[in-house]
Amino acid sequence: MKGLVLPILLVALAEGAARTFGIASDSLAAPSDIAAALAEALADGRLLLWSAQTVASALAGLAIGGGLGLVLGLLVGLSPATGRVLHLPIEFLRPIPSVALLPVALLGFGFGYRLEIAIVAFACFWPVLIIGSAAISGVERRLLEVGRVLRFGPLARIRKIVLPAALPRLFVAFRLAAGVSLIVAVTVEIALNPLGLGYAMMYAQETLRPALMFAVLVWVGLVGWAINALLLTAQRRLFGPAALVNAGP
Amino acid sequence: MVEMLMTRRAGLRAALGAAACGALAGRARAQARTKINLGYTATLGFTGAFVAKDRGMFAKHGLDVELTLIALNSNIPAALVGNSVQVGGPTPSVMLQANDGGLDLVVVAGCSGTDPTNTREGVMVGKGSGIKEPSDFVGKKVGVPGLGAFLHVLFRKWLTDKGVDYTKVNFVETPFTQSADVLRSGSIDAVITGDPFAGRILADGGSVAAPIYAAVPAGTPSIVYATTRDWALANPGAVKAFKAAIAEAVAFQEKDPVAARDSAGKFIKLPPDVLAAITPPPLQAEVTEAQMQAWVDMMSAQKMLQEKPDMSRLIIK
Repeated sequence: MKGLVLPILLVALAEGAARTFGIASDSLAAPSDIAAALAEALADGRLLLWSAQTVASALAGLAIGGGLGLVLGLLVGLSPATGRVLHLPIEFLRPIPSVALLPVALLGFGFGYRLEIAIVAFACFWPVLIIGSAAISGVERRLLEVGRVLRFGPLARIRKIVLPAALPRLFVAFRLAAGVSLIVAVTVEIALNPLGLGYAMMYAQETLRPALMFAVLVWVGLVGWAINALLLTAQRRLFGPAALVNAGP
Repeated sequence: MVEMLMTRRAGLRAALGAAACGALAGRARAQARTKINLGYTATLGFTGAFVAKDRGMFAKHGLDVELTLIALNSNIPAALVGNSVQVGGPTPSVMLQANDGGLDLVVVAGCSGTDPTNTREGVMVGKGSGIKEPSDFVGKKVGVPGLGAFLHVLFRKWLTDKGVDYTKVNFVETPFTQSADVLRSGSIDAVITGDPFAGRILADGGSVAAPIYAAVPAGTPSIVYATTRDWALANPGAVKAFKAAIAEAVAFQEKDPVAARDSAGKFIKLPPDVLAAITPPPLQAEVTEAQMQAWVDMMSAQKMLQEKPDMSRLIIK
């Protein structure tokens, strides 16, 4: 509850200022107008449609990028030689901001889900790869030796020993990537893609409806918060304190 | 060689298309409506397209047109080449730079042009800015909607005409929607903008320090409807139909500007009072080679183009 004091105070101050001095700007709106715009967009279903478009793109990108990141993370984590070969290309490609690929991706995919999913997948690939490979290479060597003694094949070793041992940290990687996926999806929509919450925000700004723009912004924050809360709960339920230690890369 | 092959292939496609049309004449006329996704930006310069869509001119000419708002004008060439939109409305500077970079875009029809008598909009300054003469811009920070954008090029031309070296002026990107706010906050000294923001700045006691539209002749294209050469060659009928529909829409707007504005309001959902306060730029369905050449000259003088474009191939006849 204490965490709510500051935001409520700030909103009350903004409302008071807007009512006292009036708003002489095309980019600001009073909190009460923002709330009204939010209620209206929720009531006529627009906000839910935009949310579905954004969340679907974010999740699909997360699944593809995270999946590929996990596969490569396994390779790099299990085979130091592969890690050494891939080190340079990974370190070269990783810093490229995913949105910098937008013009090229637009040529290849055109507007729509494919464009957005591709960019989100690129952004989600790296955290899963880096944290995943670190988690996998950090699996207790003795456990792997047990696997060898039991004469497990490589696939059985991955399935029965490596993945279960690395799972809590892989989940942390997945949770980080989920946060990235939403940010990138909304950014792609603001910059280019005529879909979802980001496009709605850009459209509201361009058509001088700042109240609606802020309403969508508040909603994006709520969606992000809800997804993170959901994943945190899942993490606690599934792994307990195991997921909270060694969470870094 | 590649170009020849592509042209030949496109020509073959067009010939096959024509043959198919001939064979299926009656049926085709009844059902075939060319689908066009049209990329536009949030400006009333696109009123011709809004009217043509809303008042049925596109449909009458056998076109099934959808409109997609694109946030940045400079993204339109990529959207055209990626076939996300088949026709788009780049500014001539964006289109010529895209072609200079290796794309092959062609003008289908005119969209909107400049009006030298427009002194309400342009480079605006706040009250007490101290900018009175063109030379006062030296060392000042001026907001432009995009570096290299149409209005930026126009302002540099205006400065050059007045004998001012534009390299001594600092340009920063400032979106239209924020122009009144940033000027008021004092973070820039002047800003290039248009209505309704120009109206806000005038109401604040600001003024137009550079009426940049006077720097070029009336009707200099500010936006053109463009497509890729491949698409234009493959769809010659649609290209003609598009231009005819736009010409009818322009005539409609001249006769009934209020109804035309109502149509525009359906695509640019501005608050009604704001929409009523904006005068759309002059619309024009025609663009001439000489008008595009004027752009090429302006941009070449500002070292924005590496090569001389082939003007005879730029506009689809």
